[in-house]
Amino acid sequence: MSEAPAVSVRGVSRVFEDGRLRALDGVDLDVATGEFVAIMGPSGCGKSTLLHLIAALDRPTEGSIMVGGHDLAGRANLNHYRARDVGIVFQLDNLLPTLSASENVQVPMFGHQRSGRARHRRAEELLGVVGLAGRAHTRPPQLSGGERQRVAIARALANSPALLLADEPTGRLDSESGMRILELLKRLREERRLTVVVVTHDPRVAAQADRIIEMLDGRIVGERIQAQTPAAAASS
Amino acid sequence: MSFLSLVAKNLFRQPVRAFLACLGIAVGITTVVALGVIVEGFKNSSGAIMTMGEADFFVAQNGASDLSFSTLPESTESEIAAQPGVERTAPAIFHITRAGANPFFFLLGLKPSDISMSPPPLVAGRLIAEGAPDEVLLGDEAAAQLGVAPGDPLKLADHSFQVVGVYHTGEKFEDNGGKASLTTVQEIAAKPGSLSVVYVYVVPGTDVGKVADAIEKAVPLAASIVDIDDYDKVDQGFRIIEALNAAIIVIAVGVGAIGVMNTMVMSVYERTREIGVLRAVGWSGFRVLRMIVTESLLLCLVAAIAGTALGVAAVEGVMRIPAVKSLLEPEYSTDIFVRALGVAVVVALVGAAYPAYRAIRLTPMEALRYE
Repeated sequence: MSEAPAVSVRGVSRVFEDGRLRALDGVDLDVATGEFVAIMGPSGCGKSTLLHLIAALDRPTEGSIMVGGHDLAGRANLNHYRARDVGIVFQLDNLLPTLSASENVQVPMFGHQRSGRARHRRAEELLGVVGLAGRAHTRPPQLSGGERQRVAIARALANSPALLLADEPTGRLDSESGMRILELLKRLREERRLTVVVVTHDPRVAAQADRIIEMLDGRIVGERIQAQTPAAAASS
Repeated sequence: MSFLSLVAKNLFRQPVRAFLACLGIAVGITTVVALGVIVEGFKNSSGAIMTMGEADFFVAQNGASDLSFSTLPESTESEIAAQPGVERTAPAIFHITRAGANPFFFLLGLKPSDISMSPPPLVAGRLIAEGAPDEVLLGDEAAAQLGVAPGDPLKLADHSFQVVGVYHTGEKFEDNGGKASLTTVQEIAAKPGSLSVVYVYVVPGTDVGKVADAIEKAVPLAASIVDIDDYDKVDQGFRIIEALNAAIIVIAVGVGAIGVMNTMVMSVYERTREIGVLRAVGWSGFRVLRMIVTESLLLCLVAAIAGTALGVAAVEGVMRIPAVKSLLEPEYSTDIFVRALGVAVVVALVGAAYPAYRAIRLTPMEALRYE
């Protein structure tokens, strides 16, 4: 029996401004466990809206979203879902400027039965994973754009989610920093069997994904498979 | 990183704003503490008048605006003495006059025989003799301030006295005042035949409260002061001070809460996107609310500590004024500090209410989209 998709989006629409703006219009999408999917499209096509709905930052007007086999609409505690089951990286790193890199990584861990010391240890470990072991006590304004985005990735991994969502993670970075971030995402996907969904309008970023989903005017208008998913590769 | 250190970093990211908000609350708390300490001290000094000469209680004119204005006819004493349970009485008159640098020298007129029956603890000299209208006893602080000792002459309210003894009771009011013959003080006060109060000593084993009530029923003009809480029957000033104290607390809470609310609203508005990020990484609305309320509480706690320290310093400063020093001993009761802390907590909660409400009403996306 084939494994259930990590993410299953069915007939999802999202309407804003009392129905005048239809950002998503009947979107269907499956993402397999361990798959690296890039969602591409021009500005305003609805790709970020779709990502936000999968992250449970917003609710669909119609349709359903299943993550890990559970319908988000039926989940009693979306805070718990956002904290433990999904990690999100924004285009702007959105780090808290008064906190050090290590403290930023610890923020999602509050309320998850971790002591201050355990939070600190976990943050140091994750900063090591993203290559910032020596910058743990540096505050965001003193970090480069690429370093800040690495801290944001470490923060997204704080509670070991199975799904990592990234909204234009290289959008504000130079090409070299951007490629390093992508390499990091690919490595994390392989090492941690993460399912990764990246929203981008940059073809170079999309080229790194297993599959590219193309969106236009709130709909999926195309799909390109570039590589086998790890699960498919293992079974073939 | 602990939750508290996160809160502290949020709070002091704008140190000048936090300092000014803190200062605003601290000034209110300073007033609450200073006024509270002074009022309590004043009450205690008044309590000392009540038990002067180890009396069980005293009787004064009901409804007097101030105890020093209490006027009872001398005949009241015999009416009181006739009540069941009264062992003896001691009529007294108060007169406040200037003595040296002290404008509130408290001169108590008593019969020399009554002074002999309940003598103040002498540190020098002797008690007033019977039939010696010009002899005076001084409290040790008054004697030191006036630079006199037993045997020295002393002019008080244009009357020439001879100091015959110096006593120490430990009560500011008494130790900065003096005691003289009842008739002499009546003359000085231009109130012949009048008394301020009548001290009452009850028969041992008798219920003081019942005797006091019986006196009030039998003598319509009389108000029995058994407890400090009875004081407002004969001293409207007490009511005024307490009302003033309450008004200042209300103003301190109101002004402080507006200051805190302003600071917290600004802080929350500036951090709207950050609050969105916190929600996006799994913080519940309740945890965000707890963060904002804790920030507000921390701000007010720092203000309470600073305000209390300033309040104590203000009282100590005021106590250096001789006139005040002679009048009261500051009373640093736990109640006052609890009240200051209570004011700080109320200010914090009221000040945090709106910004916290606004923060938890926002959805994660609304907060993240905020520019």
